Amino acid sequence: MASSAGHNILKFRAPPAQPVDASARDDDGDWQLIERIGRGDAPAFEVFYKRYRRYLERFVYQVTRRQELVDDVINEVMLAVWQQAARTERLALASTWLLGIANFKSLQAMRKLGITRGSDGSMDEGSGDDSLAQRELEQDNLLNVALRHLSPEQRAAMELVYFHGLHYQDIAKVMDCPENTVKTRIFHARKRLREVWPQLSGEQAGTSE
Amino acid sequence: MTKQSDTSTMNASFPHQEFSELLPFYVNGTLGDAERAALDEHLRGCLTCRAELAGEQRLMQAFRSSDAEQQVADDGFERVMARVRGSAAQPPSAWRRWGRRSVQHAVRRVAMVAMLAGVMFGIAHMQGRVGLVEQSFHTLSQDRGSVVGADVLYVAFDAQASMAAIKDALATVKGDVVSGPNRDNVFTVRVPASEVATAVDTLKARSGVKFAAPAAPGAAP
Repeated sequence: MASSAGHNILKFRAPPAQPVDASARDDDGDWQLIERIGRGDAPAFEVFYKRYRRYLERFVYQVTRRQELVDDVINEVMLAVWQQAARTERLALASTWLLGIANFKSLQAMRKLGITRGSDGSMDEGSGDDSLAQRELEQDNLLNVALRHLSPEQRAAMELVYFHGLHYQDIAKVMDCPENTVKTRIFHARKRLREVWPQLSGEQAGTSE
Repeated sequence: MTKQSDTSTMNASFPHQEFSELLPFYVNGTLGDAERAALDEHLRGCLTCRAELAGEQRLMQAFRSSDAEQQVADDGFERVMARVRGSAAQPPSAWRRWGRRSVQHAVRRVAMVAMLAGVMFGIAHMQGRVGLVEQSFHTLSQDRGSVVGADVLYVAFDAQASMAAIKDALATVKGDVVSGPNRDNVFTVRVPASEVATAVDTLKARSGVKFAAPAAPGAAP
């Protein structure tokens, strides 16, 4: 039987954020906008910007976990959209294309802060801001606390699978890496999360083989 | 107890971890029919994966309930447009794309010309027709006529070679740059007259050096 502590520790915020449903997006409309942006159409660019700004805010923050970077990274992402729109081929959903740019720019921003790659190809940013982690713990935002124990690349992969609901093939496109790397990266991220957040392991159900 | 089924060939060949790696995609609903069926089969017999599945569902709920806290400035679009309006941020029009390709092609052409020049020089030298090669270089070096002597070399570097690498390479042969680089990245370099042959061999052995040869007809080696 689950302990009461085990149940109490899983408090989620209300109201729930809207998860991303890629199929609900107007992909044709997005690509029409991108085509117009490629011709230097500023009003189309503004529509695209406003359509995707909030979408990017969350993703960039989840990858970097650094509020001070979000504005600048989104600025870089949107500038890249403007510059690349004319030569971008429609090989994926527009949102997937945009996430690929956002992932690259987020990791690039982290590297500029001196955060280096680990031996597994991911980046290690150290222990982070303990006081902020403590505040989040007090606010029962356990996911945010747990995510601090992952590398930026692991956080990106987790966000893409659990919030954006992408298949591993699409995540591989976004992260520009092999599919097996995606699966392995998420596997190790889940393992790490279970270490710092044992309730995720499902052990309260008393299950073991 | 793990069951095996002829409906799932994956179960016979997949180790446990590979099924575990599929669990996140099981809960987010993106697995294909075959993978989902195989995982269903595996889950029926694997208590560990069933426990992990419950954790996966909690994790997805946590992500989708989490409100990542961030505040982005309202003037974000204006700031992007300010950069867009800068000269360096114009959208690539057809002629600008052509220009970019042209630059890339030009770089490749320079590298090819330098390499071909080295090959031609070597062939011509072996055939005793250095003068022909010398003539071809005459168009690449503005002041060549005034500096060519027995102690002068032509040295071409990779287009990607850094200035530090070039300086280092020339220092190893006590070389002084007389002129260059020309448009094909060829330097005219003076070395001690008694060390011309050694300098050529030394430079040829270095990475980043496309070719190195005496500039004067009949000079050693």
